[in-house]
Amino acid sequence: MGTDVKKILLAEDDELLAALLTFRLKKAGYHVTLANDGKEVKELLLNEFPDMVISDIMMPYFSGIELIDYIRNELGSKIPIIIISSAGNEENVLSAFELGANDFISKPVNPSELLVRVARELNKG
Amino acid sequence: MTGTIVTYKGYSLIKAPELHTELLWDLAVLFVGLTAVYFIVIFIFRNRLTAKSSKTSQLKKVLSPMISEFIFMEDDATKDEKSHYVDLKIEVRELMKDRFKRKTLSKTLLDLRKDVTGSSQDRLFSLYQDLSLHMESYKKLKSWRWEVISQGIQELTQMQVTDAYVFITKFINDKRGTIRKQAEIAVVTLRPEGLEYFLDTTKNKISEWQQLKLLEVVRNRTDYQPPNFKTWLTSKNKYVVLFALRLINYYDQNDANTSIIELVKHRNDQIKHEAIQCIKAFHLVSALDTLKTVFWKCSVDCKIAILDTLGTLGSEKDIAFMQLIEKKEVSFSVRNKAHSAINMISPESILPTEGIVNADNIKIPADIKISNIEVMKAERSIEDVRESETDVEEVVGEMEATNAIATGPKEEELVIPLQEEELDLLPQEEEMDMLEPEQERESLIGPMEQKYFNTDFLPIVKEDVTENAIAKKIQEATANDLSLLDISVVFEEVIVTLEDIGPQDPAVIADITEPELYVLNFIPLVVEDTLSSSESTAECKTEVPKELKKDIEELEVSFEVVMEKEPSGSTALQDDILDLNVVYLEVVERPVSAAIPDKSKEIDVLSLLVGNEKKEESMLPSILELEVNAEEVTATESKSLLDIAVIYETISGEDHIDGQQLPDWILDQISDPEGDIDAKVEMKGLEWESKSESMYNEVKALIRLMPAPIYYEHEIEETMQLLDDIELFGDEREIPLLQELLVKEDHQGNKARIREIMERFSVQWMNHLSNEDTTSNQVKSPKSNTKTTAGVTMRNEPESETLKTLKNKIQYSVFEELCRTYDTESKLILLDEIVEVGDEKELYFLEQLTQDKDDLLRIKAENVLASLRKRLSDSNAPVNIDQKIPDGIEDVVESVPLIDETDLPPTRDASLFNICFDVELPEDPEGAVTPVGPTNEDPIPIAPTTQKPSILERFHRFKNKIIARGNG
Repeated sequence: MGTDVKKILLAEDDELLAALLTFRLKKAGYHVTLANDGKEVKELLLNEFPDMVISDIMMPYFSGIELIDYIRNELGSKIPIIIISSAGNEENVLSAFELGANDFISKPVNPSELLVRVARELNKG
Repeated sequence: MTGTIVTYKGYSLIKAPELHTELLWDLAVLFVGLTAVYFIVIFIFRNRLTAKSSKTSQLKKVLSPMISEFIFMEDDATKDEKSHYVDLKIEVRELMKDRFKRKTLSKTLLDLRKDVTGSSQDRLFSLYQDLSLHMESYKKLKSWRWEVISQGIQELTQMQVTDAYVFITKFINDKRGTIRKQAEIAVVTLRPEGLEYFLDTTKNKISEWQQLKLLEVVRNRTDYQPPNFKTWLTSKNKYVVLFALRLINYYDQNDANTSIIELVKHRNDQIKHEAIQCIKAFHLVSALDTLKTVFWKCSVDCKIAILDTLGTLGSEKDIAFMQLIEKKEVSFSVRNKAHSAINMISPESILPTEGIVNADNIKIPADIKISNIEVMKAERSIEDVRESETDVEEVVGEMEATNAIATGPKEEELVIPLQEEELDLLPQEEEMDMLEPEQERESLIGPMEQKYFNTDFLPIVKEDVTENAIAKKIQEATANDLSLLDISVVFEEVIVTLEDIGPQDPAVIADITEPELYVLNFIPLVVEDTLSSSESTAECKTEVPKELKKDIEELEVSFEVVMEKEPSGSTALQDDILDLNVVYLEVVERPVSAAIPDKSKEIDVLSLLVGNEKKEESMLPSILELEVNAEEVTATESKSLLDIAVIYETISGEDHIDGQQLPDWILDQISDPEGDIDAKVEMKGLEWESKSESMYNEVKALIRLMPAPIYYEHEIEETMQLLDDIELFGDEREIPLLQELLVKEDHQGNKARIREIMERFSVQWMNHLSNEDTTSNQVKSPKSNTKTTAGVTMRNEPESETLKTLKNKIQYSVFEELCRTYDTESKLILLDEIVEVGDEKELYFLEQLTQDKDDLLRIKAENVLASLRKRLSDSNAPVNIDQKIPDGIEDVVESVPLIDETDLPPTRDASLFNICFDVELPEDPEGAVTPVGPTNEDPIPIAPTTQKPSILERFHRFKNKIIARGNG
């Protein structure tokens, strides 16, 4: 794997959507690691050192909000975090932004839009 | 103790039941067994479900990358990617063969649809249809189970299968609610015109929730162009109207204002409420009057909505209405809303009332002094009030003087009715606010009513105006932030000053302009009861402006004219006038201008007839004409000639009333020849009556002269009808039938007619034969000169031209009868037919047509006449004797009996067979019959062509041809 390939950690409990987004991101040239719940995400964060985290807000064990808090406050990492949330979940989204989320995308997800946002966040760094 | 009775017996009252232990064991075993079975079944089913779920999950894991591959496949993919894509397709096709896998794939796609959007979603929809998964949904639509149908509709809707639109529309009015609602959403989702279709066709209720769902669907459509929803405001389905109103409101379609205002009058409260919302949203000020009208019959919610709208759109002139509501309305909410609406129009018109303590009762301790500034303010306010009082005094003085001049009532008279009015109002207010203290009530209602109901302040007139009272008012006014120039103070002063101003003050009178005088003139009308009518009338007359005077005078004059006419006419005349008016309208509607003069002529004749009875017989035709004309005129109403007199009378009478110029024919009838027209116009009712009576008698006499109708027996009538038909359509071939009829018939008239017809047909036939003789004279033998006609042997003789013309005239052409009723185009078609089927009888008719006015017809007739003559001459030409008869034909021709051609029913009278109907065929010198008809190729023996079809057959053929041409 070349050094310029960005590693993305995707935290999504919906297998179908996860598979679809993984496929799309991989196709776009990213290295994607999939986590199905909050616990798994924590483990992978410590092991994989991803360049970006894309996380659903509603997940088993650890919610997306907790994950952001963990990354920003406990790990002290500044890696870009993009939140995926259902429409009408504005409160959680605001909380996520307050805790340090970089961007937000609502479900249903437009994969092309996600790619653009990912690219923008990665290029910022 | 021996005699004691032992009452206690050793019976136990409660006896323990006998239980069979074996039975209990059996039951225990049974229930344990059932429990075991139950658990086993649950276990099995659970395992199955788990297995299915895991299987589905595994399958989804397999399918999801495939689906991703399909969705994100791009056109510029590499060769390897494309080949992989093809492999995947094949793999998916294999999967699709299995029902479970097919269902799982369908479910996966449906789930994925919720998570993705944009182009990915579009590709997902395409994939769904590419894999023919929508066919599964179509199958579901055919199910008898409502949940399956509903699911099918939902799948097709979610996957945007627009082709399913047609199949789903049939469920729009399904009796099962779930299916219906699913179909409604589907129809609106699948096509932009779906909403229109739905609104057009739905017959059922559209629930509130459903309306929201539909609106959401419509709102989420990016390419949606809303139609003009006012179209559905006239729908018979009230839910459609309601939904349309909401859509109109949502899309701001404010081009249906009139319909919306009309819907405020709808009996349904929801529709009414929504229409009110639209009125408010679109600022329809023109609807305010309607809102006020319907207010009293609305529900509380609608009333509140109306008041809300009035508060938003209304002006100060609507406050009176709202104050009325405040007094009359029972509902607390509505009254509150009326308050708030008044305050919306005029802020702080109504002040808070609840829990407010009267400040007058608060005793201020003596040691607390009012600051100097407040005292100065109060003094200044009092001075301002006095100044304003002086100003208003002058103005009101002028007004009062004007009133006094114009109407005459004194100031007490002016005040008294107003006080009564106020006294009427007060109890109502007290009833409504019984719990409130009197003082509080005055302080509450006072400021608002002072501003808008000036009459409310009139009771205060009797109060003594002191400086203390004025100071109190000033305090209240400053507390309410109202101006000191409030009218309440002004009206107090009005009474004080009125006494000082005399009604005859010339200075004041000089300042009063005429329009003011005119306006104030109406005040005495209000207090009319206190004055004598004669006085008020006299005063009104003296002070009324000149223009008004004129009008009144005119009215009086016209009234006098009516009164003058009344005594001159009798009650009978009045009745006549009433009757005349009614009939006159009917006569005018008909185009009688042309018909009536003709009638007048007839009536003239009638009068002569009646006068001179000797001429009755000679004038009979005129009488008959009269009858016909009378029917024409009175076709709408009258049925007999008796009605002519009535109509005649009404026409004349109407003219008398209006004073218009009478028609000449009427004038001639009602007046003597030398009489003056104007003099006759002024004929009175009695003269009219006598005249009409004489006319009536005249007509009655004429009716007596008419012959009475003769009614024949049914059989005789039938025979007459038959003879009519024979005469019209028949020819010489009907003679046997006529002879048969002649024998049977007993009625002398019919007998005579039969003879006449027979004679006519005989002449026709004779004429026909003579024509044949003249054309084929050279080839015929001399023996053919003798003919037997109707049992009479006649000899052919040379005919003169005159006789020939006469015969032609006698000959009757059936086409002539047809031509009478046909239009030009049909006549032209008819002429074509004459060329083909016509004979000599048509010649005379054609000759007549050659002199027709219509050029087209004339030219055509000339051509047809020439063609017919040529054809007739050809047919009468000598037959080519060299033509040989095929072998065997001769006998056939000879053996065909002529009676078969006529197709007549066999007669019972044998003597009829004496008539010779045989037509002699042209023979060659060798005695051979001219070969006509059958040939070698056509061995079937048919009738010779020389025997033409009967005229009825020709007519029948012609009719068929006409119909065939008409049908193209």
